[in-house]
Amino acid sequence: MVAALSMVKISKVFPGVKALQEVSLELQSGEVHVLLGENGAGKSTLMKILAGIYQPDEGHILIDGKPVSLKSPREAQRAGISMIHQELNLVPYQSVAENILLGREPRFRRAPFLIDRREVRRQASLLLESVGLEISPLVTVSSLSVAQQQMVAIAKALSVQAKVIVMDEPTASLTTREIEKLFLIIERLKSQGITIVYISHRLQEVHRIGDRSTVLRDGKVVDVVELTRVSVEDLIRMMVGQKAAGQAQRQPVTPGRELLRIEGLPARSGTHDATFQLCSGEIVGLAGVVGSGRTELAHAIFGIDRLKDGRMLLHGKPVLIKSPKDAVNLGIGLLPEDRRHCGLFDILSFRDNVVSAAQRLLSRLGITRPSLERQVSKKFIQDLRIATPSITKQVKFLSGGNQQKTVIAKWLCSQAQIFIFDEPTRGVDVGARREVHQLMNELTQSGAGILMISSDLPELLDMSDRIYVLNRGQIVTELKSRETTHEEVLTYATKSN
Amino acid sequence: MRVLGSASGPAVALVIACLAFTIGSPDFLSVSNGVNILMQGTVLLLVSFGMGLTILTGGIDLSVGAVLGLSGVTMGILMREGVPLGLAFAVGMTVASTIGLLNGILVVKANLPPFVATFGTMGMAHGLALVLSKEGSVWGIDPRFRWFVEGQIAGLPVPFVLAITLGIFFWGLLRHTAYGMRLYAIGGNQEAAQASGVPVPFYKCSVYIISGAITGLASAVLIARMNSALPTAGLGYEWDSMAAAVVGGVAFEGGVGGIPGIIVGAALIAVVRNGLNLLGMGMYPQVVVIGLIIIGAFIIERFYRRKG
Repeated sequence: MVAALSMVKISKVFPGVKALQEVSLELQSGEVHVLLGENGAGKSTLMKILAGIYQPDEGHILIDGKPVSLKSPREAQRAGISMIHQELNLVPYQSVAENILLGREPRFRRAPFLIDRREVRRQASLLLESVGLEISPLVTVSSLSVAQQQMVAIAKALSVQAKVIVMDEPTASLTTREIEKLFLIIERLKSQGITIVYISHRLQEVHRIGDRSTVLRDGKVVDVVELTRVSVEDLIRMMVGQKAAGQAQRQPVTPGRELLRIEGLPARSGTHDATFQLCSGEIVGLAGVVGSGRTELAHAIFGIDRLKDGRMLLHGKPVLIKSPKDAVNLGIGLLPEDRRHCGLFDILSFRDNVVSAAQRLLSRLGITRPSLERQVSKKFIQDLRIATPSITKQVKFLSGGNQQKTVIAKWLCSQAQIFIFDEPTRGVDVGARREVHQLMNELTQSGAGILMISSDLPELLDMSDRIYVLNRGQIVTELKSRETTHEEVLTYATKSN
Repeated sequence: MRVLGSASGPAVALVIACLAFTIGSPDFLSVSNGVNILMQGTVLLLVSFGMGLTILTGGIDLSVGAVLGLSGVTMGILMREGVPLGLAFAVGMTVASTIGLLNGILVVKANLPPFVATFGTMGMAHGLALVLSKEGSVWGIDPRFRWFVEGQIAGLPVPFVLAITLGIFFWGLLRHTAYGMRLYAIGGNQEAAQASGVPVPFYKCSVYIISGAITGLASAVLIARMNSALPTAGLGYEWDSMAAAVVGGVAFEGGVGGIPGIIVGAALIAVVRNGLNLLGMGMYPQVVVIGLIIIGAFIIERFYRRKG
């Protein structure tokens, strides 16, 4: 039997990263094919190639056995491929109907340059009905809830006469009832011979709705399995695999006094009795899939967002952190995930970056003190073993690892006690990764506390002392890193309610 | 009010301004002054249509004022040299559209921010107009060219007919064609439009060509009215047309606004300029008033958008 669609030996290289290496994906008509893999395994890249957004460096795509080239989203659409993106691709100020039929608006037969608005409305109503969304097609998208927008995106995907529909995390913002509706729609599509590619981190859900699964890890296919023949545990094992070494060992420090405590956070039982605690000398990890609320918690601590529930105590005293400025003054430092944009001023010099958060300490009467700044920056180059030719070098010319160290220097300079490391080693090479880990050890030895977020679960387990697992905005459990396993953390992180 | 939709706010402001000027100056409410406003307003309105379209897609066209001067000077010189009127008009239109095309290419192919691209072509067009005209007025406009202001179609003055026809055309284009709907989509969320299979570069390029072309048409009305072509005649129209679009409810971020709003916005700017003239206010203090109107419109618009 000829596959409805096959991607054959697809490879894709981004500067410095082999995103995909000879990945093949075969889709039968009428199946729900689940694409599994941890963050960064290559799922999104593969799907962007299928949707015509990226072009593969090697490999080709066959539809019904015939080779096709998908040079743009438009060509992919014409070939019968429809995609529901994770970041909902809707136009906020336009009506639901206009959004659903954007790009293939029905026209009057006699005057094909004019849109038949009545027909737009009629078709949109039918599609909305088919996804069970009871709203007027005339309301603007921006007035809908995220879940409703998700259903609109699904209706939009159905409006193309698609052979293959890619759903990227379609249930991330849906309630249980809405998920049931979605599953009914998927069953109906299957019976019409439409192929669904389903991407989700929720493994129980995947096990229920999927027929077969292709598991990706580090840009390669690990296995293709019939989902009825494997357990959720098997899937997790395949996704995690044996990670290569290449990181420094955590050197545990006996925890000292409490630095930060947040009480009254949403907990598994639906109550607000979860507590987050960080002590001097500790590295505490936050685990969870994308959208689980990890980043939101970290942002609340740094004053970017407000804490929805719960109250924060710093050194045992209640504090209200209203802005990053408050956080910095209270001795909190954030190493953001996107360090080039949020962590550094990349066209400024190394020195200017180091002192950028510490002018309250370094300047006198609002006037900067260049000699002191020079002295301090030079000290950090030594202390943190930063490879920069001079303190005046623009940081955009430094390597990823040295940029990360520059951010650490910035917070040391502002005398931070609490460090939030958000994906600290993403995009840095193995050697620099070890260095960053070593610095984390040294920071805790000198009495700092670190809150660490990493999608790289082995790294999180190796480098942290304790882990809080988040799932849908709730702290579902607290685990000791030495006593737990990848599998246990993933089970908690992916369990549906 | 419902027909005007989001333009109802500026429409109220327009009525208030008219009432105030009627009370303030005995000359305001008269047939001759009405004709006056129409003549001055038509040029602004046409330019505002093009400006509005570019802003709608999240761009801007700063070159309109300079293009107004350049295409006017081109038409004027050709007519002075005895080139047939129709040909002179066509060449002027071509020059204006070509600069629009250049803007589009710079935005779409060279990936320049629209502000930068059109700022550059603004300088080029303005300089070229000065060079061609030898820095002075071009006289010798073919008397038949005055048809653009004095002529009548079906008993109605030509500028009026132009404004109405083009207004209906652009309104239909935005409201009832896929082209228009896609412009809104691009302004609202360019990635979404791209992912829905809309060829975004083509659409973005096209609005700059439209803006150039309609500015060329406006320049014909302008030189007909002044009976000469001045290279600097269009300067300031980029700001007035931006003001008209923004006051009329076109959001600078793109994706929001429409033709009724732009018409009301342009009418408001034209009436305010005319009324202040009658009240004896000089050109430069008027600029201050227009500035205040723009800021006021922005604040009001933000306020209402936040309230939903």
